[in-house]
Amino acid sequence: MNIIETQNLSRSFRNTEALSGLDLSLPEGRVAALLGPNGAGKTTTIKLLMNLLVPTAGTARVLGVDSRRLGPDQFARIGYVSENQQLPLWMTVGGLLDYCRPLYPTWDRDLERTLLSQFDLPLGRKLRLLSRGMLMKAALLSSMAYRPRLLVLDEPFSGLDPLVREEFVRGVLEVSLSGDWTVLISSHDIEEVERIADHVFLLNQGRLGLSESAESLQMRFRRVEVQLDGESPAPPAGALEWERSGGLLRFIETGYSGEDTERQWRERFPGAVVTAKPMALREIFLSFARASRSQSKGVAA
Amino acid sequence: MNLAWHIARKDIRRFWAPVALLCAIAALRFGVGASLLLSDDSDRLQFLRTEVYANLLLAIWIFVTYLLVAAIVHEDAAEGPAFWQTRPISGLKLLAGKALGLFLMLGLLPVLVSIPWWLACGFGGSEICRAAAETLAVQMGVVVLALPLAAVTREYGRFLLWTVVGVVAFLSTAILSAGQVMAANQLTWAMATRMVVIGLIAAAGGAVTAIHQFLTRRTWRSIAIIAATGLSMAAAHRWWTPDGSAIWSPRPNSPVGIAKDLKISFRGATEKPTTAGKSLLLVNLLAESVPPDYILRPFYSEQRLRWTDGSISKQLNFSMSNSVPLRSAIEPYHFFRMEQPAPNREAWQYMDRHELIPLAQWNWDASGQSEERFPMVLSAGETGKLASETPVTMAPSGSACSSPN
Repeated sequence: MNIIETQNLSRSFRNTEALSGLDLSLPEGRVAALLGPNGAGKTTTIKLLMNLLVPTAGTARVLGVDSRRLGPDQFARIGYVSENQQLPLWMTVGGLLDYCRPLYPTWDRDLERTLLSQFDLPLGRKLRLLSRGMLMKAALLSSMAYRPRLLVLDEPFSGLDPLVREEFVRGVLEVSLSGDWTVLISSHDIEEVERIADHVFLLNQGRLGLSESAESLQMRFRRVEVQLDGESPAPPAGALEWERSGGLLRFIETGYSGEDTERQWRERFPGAVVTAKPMALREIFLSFARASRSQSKGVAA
Repeated sequence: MNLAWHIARKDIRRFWAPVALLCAIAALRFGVGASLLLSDDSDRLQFLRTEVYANLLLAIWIFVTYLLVAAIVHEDAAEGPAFWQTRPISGLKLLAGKALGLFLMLGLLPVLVSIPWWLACGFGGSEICRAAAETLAVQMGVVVLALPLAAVTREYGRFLLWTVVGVVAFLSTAILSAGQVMAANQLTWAMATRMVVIGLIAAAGGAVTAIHQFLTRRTWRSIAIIAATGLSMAAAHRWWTPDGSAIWSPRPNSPVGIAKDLKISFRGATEKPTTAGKSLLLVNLLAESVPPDYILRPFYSEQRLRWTDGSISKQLNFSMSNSVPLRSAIEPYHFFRMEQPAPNREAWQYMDRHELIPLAQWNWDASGQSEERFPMVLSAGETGKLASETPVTMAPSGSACSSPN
């Protein structure tokens, strides 16, 4: 079953199209990253999914319900943490938990205690006196202690120091491993997301660039270096960042499939030394973003 | 209900300090009342000063209440993103929680705080009920005004901006229709029913706006509902009643049945020279057997003096609808019985100097008897006549209605 499913989801702000024809589906139990540069439409997508915005076209279904009809029954099974989230800052951490607890029939006091101690949150301190990182942890705690079926995190790492990020990621990792939680994380922080996500949605300029499992993505992307003696051949289909410097040809292979691809390289670059290195998600994201940018510049030109 | 109470309790915890401030303002008002009760009533200046204080505190009270409504609603704003929107709280439950909190903090609590004072003033059970109802009506009236504006905004700046827009629209409508109001002064009850209709439209529009905004969070549509409500109110103000008459006519409660033993008798008249060389003729009527829970409220009298040369001096007196109940929670004199000798004396002197036909002055006592004084201002010539002769006829006549205390 897909926990999230959108069809032709679009949203415009006056004349600006923030999201255009988004089709994505997120199966249950996955931890998915929603990646993209600034203005790609990540936050708009999440706000549409959470019924904080109304789509101008298309539909989104969350937990099997049209996002525009999400109600208490669904929100009792959804956890949402956003960098821009409005929190009752006058409350203490304990007060926030006391306020949230009766709202959720599935609230788990043991998990609350575990997360409280893991996040090292001071129960008696007012939220407005907490640092940004502590505030995000308090928001995460209040969104996780009821074991939601879907956890949506919108830029949770922005502005957090490495230690807090580590605690945050550990918290999400532990709960996501402990049950059938589905997690959707939007972030710029690809290193942190890489540790958690098993599926990647890449947005660019309001459109879905790719939707693929992290494993498959890392499998098919390779940074390739070729030591050439003679003329360089035409770039193969799907190659990115094709460049030659002296006898060294560099490019990114986007369709690597093991033996088959290597055989094609040998045929294309006879006698040349070809080395292919796996790429981190961050590198894949950057090469994809650069390619999209140059493509859009080309279209504009 | 549990969730509504949960939300209301949270709001009470959040706003206990401003609500305590509201109670402090109430205590200050009581202090003003106590200072009046303890002081000499004949000090006119002190009376006026404390009246200003009482009215000022009442205005502050209402303004603080108005701002508090916005603060309580903005705590879980229905406009823009808010914490509750991604929590298992429906808009309707939130609105119920807000309504419960508003009632408890701004309705019930002020009544509870006031009860000891009302008791100290000697209010009986029915008077306390009436004062409580008045307090609740004013507080809930403020809530009805503030709630729709608070629902479509998320911070004070916009809330106050919309308030200013509303006040300007209201005043503009009032000024533009002032001629009509003056022309319609015969239709007192038509105007009264118009006010009721406008109030009902405002209450219904406010409720619909708040419910719509909390359920759908479509702010512009809610603003459209507010605008439609305002237009409907203006239309009611302009065209109510459709045929220009009252839906129901003023029918003074006849003493018959209610006060069938009521007797009004002529007690005589006394002359009182004034500084302008004129005379003030005080005509005294005695009303007897007024039921204990009623006051006699004169509103019209006609007096004629027939002189020996056949000429007639005639004067009409009208009461200017002084319909303030004996004890009222909102009226600043609520800690007084209706006797107000010091300001009345001043008022009489003022009216005398300006040759105004004054209101009938009336005094009453706890037994239900009241003495009415219908003054008659005579010209200098008539004053001269009065010094040399006794008028042939002195025939006061009048009508009165009684109303529940």
